[in-house]
Amino acid sequence: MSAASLSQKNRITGGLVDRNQPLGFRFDGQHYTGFAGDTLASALLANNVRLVGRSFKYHRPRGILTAGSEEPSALVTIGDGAHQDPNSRATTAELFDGISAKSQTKMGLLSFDLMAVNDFLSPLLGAGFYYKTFMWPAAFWEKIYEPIIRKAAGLGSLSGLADPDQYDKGYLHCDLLVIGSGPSGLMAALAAAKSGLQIILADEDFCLGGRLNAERQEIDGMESASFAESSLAKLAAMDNVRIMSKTTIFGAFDHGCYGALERVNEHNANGSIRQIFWHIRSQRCILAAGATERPIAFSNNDRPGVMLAGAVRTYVNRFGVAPGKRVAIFTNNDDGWATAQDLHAAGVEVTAIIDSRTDIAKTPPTGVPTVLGGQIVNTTGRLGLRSVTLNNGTHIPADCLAVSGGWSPTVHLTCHQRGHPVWNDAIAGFVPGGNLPDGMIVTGAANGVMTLASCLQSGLKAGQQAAHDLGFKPAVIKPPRAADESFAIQPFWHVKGSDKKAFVDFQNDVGVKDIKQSHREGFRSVEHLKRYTTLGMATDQGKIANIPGLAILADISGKTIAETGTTIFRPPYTPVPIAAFAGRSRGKDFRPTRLTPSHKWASAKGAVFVETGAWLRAQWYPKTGETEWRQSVDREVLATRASVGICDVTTLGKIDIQGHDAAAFLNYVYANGFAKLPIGKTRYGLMLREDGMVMDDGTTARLGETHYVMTTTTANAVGVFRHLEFCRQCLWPELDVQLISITEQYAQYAVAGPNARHLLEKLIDSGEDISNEAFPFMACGEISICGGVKARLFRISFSGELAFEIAVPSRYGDAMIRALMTAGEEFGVTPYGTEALGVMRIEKGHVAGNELNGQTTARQMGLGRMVSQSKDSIGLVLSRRPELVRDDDYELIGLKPVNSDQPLIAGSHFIGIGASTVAENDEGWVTSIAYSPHLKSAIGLGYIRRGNSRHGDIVRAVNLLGGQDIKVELCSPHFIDPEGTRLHG
Amino acid sequence: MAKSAPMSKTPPSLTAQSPLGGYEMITGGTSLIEITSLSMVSVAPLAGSQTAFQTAMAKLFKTGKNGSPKPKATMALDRSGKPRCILMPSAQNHWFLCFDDDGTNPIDAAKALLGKSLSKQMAMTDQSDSWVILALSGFYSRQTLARICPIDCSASAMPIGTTARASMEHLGAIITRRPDEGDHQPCFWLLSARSSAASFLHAIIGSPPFRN
Repeated sequence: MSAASLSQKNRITGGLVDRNQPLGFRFDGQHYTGFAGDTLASALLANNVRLVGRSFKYHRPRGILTAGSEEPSALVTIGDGAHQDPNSRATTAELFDGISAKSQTKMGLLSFDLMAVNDFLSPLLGAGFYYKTFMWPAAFWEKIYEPIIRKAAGLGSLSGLADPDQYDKGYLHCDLLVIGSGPSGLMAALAAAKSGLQIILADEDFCLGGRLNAERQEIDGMESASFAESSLAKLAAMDNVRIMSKTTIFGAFDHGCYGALERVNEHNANGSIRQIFWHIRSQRCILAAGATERPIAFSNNDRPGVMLAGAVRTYVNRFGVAPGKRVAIFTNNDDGWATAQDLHAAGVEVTAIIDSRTDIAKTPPTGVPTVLGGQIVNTTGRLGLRSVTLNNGTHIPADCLAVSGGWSPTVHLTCHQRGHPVWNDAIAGFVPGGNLPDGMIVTGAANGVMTLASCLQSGLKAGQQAAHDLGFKPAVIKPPRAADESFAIQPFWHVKGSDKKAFVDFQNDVGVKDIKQSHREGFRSVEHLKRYTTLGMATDQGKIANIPGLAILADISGKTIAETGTTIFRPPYTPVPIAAFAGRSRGKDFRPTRLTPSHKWASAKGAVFVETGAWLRAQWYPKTGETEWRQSVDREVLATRASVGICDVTTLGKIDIQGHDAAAFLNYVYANGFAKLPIGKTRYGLMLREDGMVMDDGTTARLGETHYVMTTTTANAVGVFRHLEFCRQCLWPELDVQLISITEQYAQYAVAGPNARHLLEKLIDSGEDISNEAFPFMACGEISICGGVKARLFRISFSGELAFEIAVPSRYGDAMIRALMTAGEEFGVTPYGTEALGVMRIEKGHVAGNELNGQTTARQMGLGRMVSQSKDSIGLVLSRRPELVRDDDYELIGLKPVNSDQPLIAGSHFIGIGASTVAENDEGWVTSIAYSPHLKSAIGLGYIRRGNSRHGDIVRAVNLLGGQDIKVELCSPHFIDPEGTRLHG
Repeated sequence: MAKSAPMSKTPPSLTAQSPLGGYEMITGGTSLIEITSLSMVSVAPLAGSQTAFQTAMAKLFKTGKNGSPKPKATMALDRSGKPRCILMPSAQNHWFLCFDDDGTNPIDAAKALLGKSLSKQMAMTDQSDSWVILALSGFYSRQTLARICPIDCSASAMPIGTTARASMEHLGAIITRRPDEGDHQPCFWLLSARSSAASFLHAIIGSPPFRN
């Protein structure tokens, strides 16, 4: 025997661990050795560590209860620092070299937890304790009670640091998803795979085979674990099979979609991906999730060393670990006797089999005493079990007690779409009801089939059925030879009269007396029981506690278990880290970014960008010496109005509209008329929603007889396109119209200012004429530039200046901005960003997103007369609603502070001079503000009641959040060139 | 637009750039290469022209009666057997026609492919500059897709020639399976918007085998 084995006091022979691969690990700072193939729990048990944590509420010493994901007690924190992972189940954590784990829920030493005083106070801390105790004084709750409770309660804690591990998500597709790789799952997978189905076989364990690895049974003349290994090898050799170990199917969702968490490199990622969240879409699913053993409640049934009987067999048979030197068994079914056989075969002393049943004829292993009709009423051992006391007063020495209260089929995934399980007396457990998720077949122990040969056959049939359902010819496979072990059970949930510290839910410290109290105080439905006592909550979601809990409730209330029912099982089956759901969507990957074709050039110019939806737009272009943004923006505005400026307007939505009925279509979707727009002309258009409010504005150019190009605001580009498609497909399918977005197709630049035409004339090809006569305001058309590039030119202006927008195919976008800037050098051209654009449009009184925010009407914007009354259009009828045409409606106005040194704040509200600042006196609000370098004053736009008749009025602009209350003068919203001389120039 | 007297000067010429500058990455027997030499025109038959279009497409692409391309028949060949154009269904009654960019205006080239008469019955829009196209091919290409593409890209679910729209990492995308490359390795074209091409690329190469 190796030194590594010798150091492990409880390591026995056999099992599936690799004794040639010793692994060092730490628990609470102590160094231990285990083997490859161990879980943290099995390695701790091998080293005779029974005490691994403290309980949630009473801080009672707790050990390892199970050998799987149902574990309620052995929760530890694995890793340190940012890698710290709380509430890891020691029973599923695969051991690797160097793993460091810590116990949790303790104050001080694990063996001397200062919070264990709670255990002595337990009579005061029963169910509903919080609700009753912390009622008074109310003011104490938030500052005193809650912080204390939060500190005292809870499980492990997070590091508070950013998670350094990598996560991903992905999508898998198959004909059949098999969940669970025990006897049923393996046979189902073999049958389906041999029938030709594309299958995924998923199991949460790192070692596949389920209970086949945990039992000493014989299949086809070989040990059950060998049968599992050989079956998996057959499956692995098939191209149509994907085997996913360490993968929990945590939820069954609509349309054959299953959520799966693959723990690729759990706690040991070293920079590679730790976990992957998979969406699995499968036409059929075979649920072979097995069953979960449950405990029996009696006083002090939670001492370290008390363990479920099936788990004891797992540690002995799979891991080669004796959970104790002297094991007693307490059972209400034949399973306990199998445990005795396996322990005996492994050379572990069994001190007694205590069976709650009386009328059975079972033969114990040689020399093992049996107590039929026996019940355990108490146990001893402060930090670990020493003995058990029977109802006849006998004390039986034991450092491990194997308890079996029967097995509950793992029906959780059958209930994820509101399926209700049904009670089955024969197995004393709930089995899946008839309302399963679409395409799901349940097989084996998950379906209440509790013996080996039957499980193998049931799995085989399920696989064949799935093949048949999907139109495959089911493969003919001979069922493997195996025996059906004896399975008989007589329900026995708790030892009557042994209620004190008789735990049902080990994770939440809920005992029999709490259930009784809940019933006594009127919380009698299972859902109320859960909320009042916390039974079935937290990380294990009551996998082993729910059924005993509701059975005890049924007993107390005099109902049957079937009448009592279960709580609802919801996803996830086991906890899924939020990080796995996020996958790679963090940091740069959180969301995509859209860049305009001039981005690279603008970046080189030092542009400051702003997020506009997914777009990054240049906000301003700082020059050397400019120390704050206003300097840059003022300069850009002044330079543009003085000579020429260029702004990238690629982000505006562009929609290509073609068809014989395109004009009629536009006439319907725009409130103003488009039927008579000539070819080669652009028109400003206002689009209303069906409710009569303004949805968006923009321009539409007519390029040909049946060809138009619409522009939308950047923000509404997608929304308008979607709206147009809805109109086209649903409202007027008879119209001959085709739409496609060309936002991406063109790089578009606004060239604005008195020298705009001169600049462009340097770039257009010979033969093109963009003089005011040939290409007047609102003209549009194709134009050849820069030696033959086919561009589109629009004579439109947002700034109020003589302006053009030139669109070139995006491939030329970068070259175009460079060419424009080079050509503009002689005019002192300046690029300008969205801030200068905003200043100029406010100076001009053009509405934008702030003014058309979805709550305003055309009339309010001063565009009421654009809404044609002589044709039908979307929104026309409801725009006539009395409330929308009232005389004292809000109307767009301009405003400037009386004291021109004062800034304005957007969102301020208008209050009359002398009126108190209350909502009743609110007359309107400021929508947009800017500093006008021309007027040398802040200016703004806003809505105020009867605004058109109030130019010259002085009101207050009040912003309580900004702490401002100043006088402003109302005026026309057109601050600059109200006659439009510039843009027609 | 009115023509004026020729101007004496010569404006600068413009240099074209592809969305990702001709990106190319080959790793682990899997390659990701930007397709840069393609013209792409959206084609939608106008009212009353669906039948004429489908007949023409059936002839050009050997499509089924419903106008949808038959697998493996999305590439139309010219008389000498050279690839002529590719047809990808993009929406109901809507297709993308792709062909080599030989410098001809894409709309003019598409009209030449469809013929004068049929062209008049089509709404055609140049989309050549709207998309980034990345060819993903090789042994691990399906593993890459499994991390970003929610639809089933297996050989049986997506025969050669199949086109589908999908959302990949919050980006609208089109995936089309191209003919296998040497040694029966699968090849997919992934299309997404030009403006977010860098994000799209980042998403793809964040997947194996490029990530590792």
